Amino acid sequence: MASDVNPTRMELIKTKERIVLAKKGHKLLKQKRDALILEFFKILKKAQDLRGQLAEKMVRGYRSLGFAETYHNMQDLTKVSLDLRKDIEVDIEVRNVMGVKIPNITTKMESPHFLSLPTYSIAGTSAKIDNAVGNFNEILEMVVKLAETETAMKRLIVEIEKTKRRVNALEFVLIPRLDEQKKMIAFRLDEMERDSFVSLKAIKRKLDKKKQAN
Amino acid sequence: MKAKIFVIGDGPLVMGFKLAGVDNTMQVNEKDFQSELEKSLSNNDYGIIITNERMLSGVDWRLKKKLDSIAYPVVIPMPDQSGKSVEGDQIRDLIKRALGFDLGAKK
Repeated sequence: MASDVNPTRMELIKTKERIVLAKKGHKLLKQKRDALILEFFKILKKAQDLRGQLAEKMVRGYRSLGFAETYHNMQDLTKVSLDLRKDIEVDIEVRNVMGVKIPNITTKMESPHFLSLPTYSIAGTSAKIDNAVGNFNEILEMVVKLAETETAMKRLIVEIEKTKRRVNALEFVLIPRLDEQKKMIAFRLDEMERDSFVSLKAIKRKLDKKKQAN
Repeated sequence: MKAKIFVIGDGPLVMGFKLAGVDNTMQVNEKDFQSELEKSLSNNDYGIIITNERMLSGVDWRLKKKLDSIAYPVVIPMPDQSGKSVEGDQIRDLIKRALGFDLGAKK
């Protein structure tokens, strides 16, 4: 605490230096926080409640899948899914925003067939399967979009919180405490100076008196 | 970096994504989930790992912490049949705590 430092000139200089450093750090952290928040809002605009939409889609997807499973058996579904295999390639690049690692995802989905129509046989399948396939295709697309924005948002928000805490700690704890310390040391030094000044005067007066007496 | 999508989870999830054309899938039960997930995390071929939210909530905290800090691969938990998403609520809570206002209230 501020009370247990030595009131010396050296200590005063050190404290002043620390204040300058703390203020510099505070300014930088504040800039970092602002930049992170800016980035966060950029991503937030892209995200647009994807989670909620996804949950809704998932409910529908599961339901259609359930129907498909009850109409056909698992073997049939597995067989159909083999026909549907796609070359899905995701390209993930890790971007660095103020020390936060954020994935940048681009996807390329290529169907090995050049038709955009269903690639499984009409015989032995029904509209239930078509439904499930359609739903899950949409879900997959959303998941890929979500993958980028959600992880980025999570990482950013954690970092924003940390930075914010640091900024506040500097602003409301460390800098006021150092200021207090500086003030105290300066006060004590002034006090000591006045003290010695007065005693010097007193000594001088005594010496003068002695001289006159002689 | 070129990578693939991997689905690990319960029957319906895996089946669903199979129908969407995902090739790399693995159906696991709760018991093997953690070890299999760890295995898939260390596999560099997988860029996005899609999994069950319910199963993911069962893994121990060390793995969870790891999932929260890595940028590659990206792990996406999916809501289950009930359509309730804990993940979304969690993120909203985080935002509320960090920025001081509720984004969900806006819509």
